[in-house]
Amino acid sequence: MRMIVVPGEKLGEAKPGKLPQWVFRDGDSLYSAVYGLFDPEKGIRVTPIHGKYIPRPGDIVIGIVLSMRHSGYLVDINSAYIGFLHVPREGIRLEPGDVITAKVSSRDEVGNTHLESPRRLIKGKLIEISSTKVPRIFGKAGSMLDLIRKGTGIQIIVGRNGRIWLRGDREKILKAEKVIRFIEDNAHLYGVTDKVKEMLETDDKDNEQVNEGR
Amino acid sequence: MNMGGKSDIPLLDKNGKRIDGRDLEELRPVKMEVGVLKKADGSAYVEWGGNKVIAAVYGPREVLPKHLSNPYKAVLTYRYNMAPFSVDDRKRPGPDRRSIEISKISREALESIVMLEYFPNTMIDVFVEVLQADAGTRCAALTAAALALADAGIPMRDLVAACAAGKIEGKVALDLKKEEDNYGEADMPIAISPRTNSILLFQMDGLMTREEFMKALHLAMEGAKKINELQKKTLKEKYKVINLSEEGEKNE
Repeated sequence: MRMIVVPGEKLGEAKPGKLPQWVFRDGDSLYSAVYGLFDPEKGIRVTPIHGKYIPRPGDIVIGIVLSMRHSGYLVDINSAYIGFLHVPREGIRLEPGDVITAKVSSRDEVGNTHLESPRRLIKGKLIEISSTKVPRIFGKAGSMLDLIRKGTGIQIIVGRNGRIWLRGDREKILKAEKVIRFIEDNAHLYGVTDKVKEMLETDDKDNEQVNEGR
Repeated sequence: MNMGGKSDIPLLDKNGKRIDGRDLEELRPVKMEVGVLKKADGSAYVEWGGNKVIAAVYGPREVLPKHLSNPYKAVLTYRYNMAPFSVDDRKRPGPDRRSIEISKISREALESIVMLEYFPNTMIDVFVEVLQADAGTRCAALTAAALALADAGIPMRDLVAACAAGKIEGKVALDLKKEEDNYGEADMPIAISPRTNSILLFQMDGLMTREEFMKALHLAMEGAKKINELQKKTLKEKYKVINLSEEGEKNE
C-alpha cells in the first residue's frame, strides 16, 4: 500500500549498494529526502509528489525557443536548467516563441543541457502539468496515453518535462485536458485508469461546464 | 524584539496561568496549510496564535544575477518581510536591520538541511511574508518555509521546526506572546532538526541563569517537536491514498 512520506522520514535499514534517488543514508538507516510516495512492498524507492524537471539524456521534452545564439538556440524546457539546441548552418530555422519537441542529448554535472533532433510543433494547444506526474499520464507501457488518444482521437505529444501538446478538434482537446488534469490531481491514488475510461466514455454533454471551470 | 520595562499588568495570575490562559509549558494554537499559492512551486500558510505568515518557494531555477551562481551547489535565498499592517503601529515597508538579520540566520538554518548539492548552478528562493505579528514570527516563518520547501519537492535531510521559550516574572515559559516578550525578562527562539536533535538557529535576548537556560532550551526543543508533528500531519493529510474505484462502488 502506498503511503505519504515527508523529508527526514525513516524508510528502513541501509543495505550495501547504490542509494536510490531521493533517499539518503544516515548511520545504519535510510531516510526519504523528499515529500513523496513510498510503497514498502516495492522496495526502498520514493516518488516525489512535486518537483522541477531535471533533464536526463534520452528524454523527449517540449521546449519554447527563448533566443538565438551563434550556433543554435536557447530553449526553455520548464526545468531548473535552460536547454541549448545546437543547429548546423543548414539546419532548422526557429524564431523565439516557437514550440518544439527535442531529445535531451546530454547534461553535465553542472547542469549544462544539450538538445538534439528538434521538430517544430505548429498549431494545437500546450498545457503544463507537474513533471513528477508525467509517468502517470503515460501509464504502464503507454497504456493510459493510448486510452486518451483512442478516446478523443486527437494528436497528443507528452514531454517528459511536464508539457503536453494537443492538436485536433477543439471540443476533444478540452475533453483530453480535463482527463489529464484529473490524472494529475489524483496521481497518488489507486483506480485512476477505471475512472479515466469512464470519463472518456461519457458524452461531451458536460463539456460546457469544464470550459467555465478552467 | 522590544525589551520594554516592567509592565503594570501581571503576566502570571495567582493560579500561575498566563494572560491568555495558557500554562507555562503550553503552546499557542497552531494551524497549518500547504499548497496555498498557485503560482509558487511550493507554499504554506501558518497561523500560530496571533501570528499569520505565508511562505512561497520558487525553484530550483536559473540564478539571477548570474555571477552568484555556484557550480557546486544551489544558491538559497530567504526573505523575511513584515507587512506594513502586521503590527499595531504602521511598519515602514521594506527590509530593515531586524528583518535582514532574521533573513540571514533563517537562511543559514535552512542551508544546513536543504540538499543544495542536488542542483548545481541554480537558485532556490524562499519568501516569507508576515501578515500579522504577535511575537515569535521568525519561528512561525521558518516553520512555514520548511513546509513550503517540502511542498516544492526540494530534497531535505529533515523538516525544520522552530519554537521559542523565555522567562516571564522569573519563570521559564514556552512560546511567548507579544506582551510577554515585551515585558518579560528573556526570549530565546530556536530552530531544530527534529530527527537528529541538532540546533540550526539559536538566539537569545535578556538574562537567564544557567539552570533557567537549560530548562528553556529543553522546553523549546519539546515545543519544536510538537510543531514538527503538526507539520508532518499537515503534509500527510494533504494527500490521502485511497482507491478511486472502491470509493465509487461505496457511493453507488
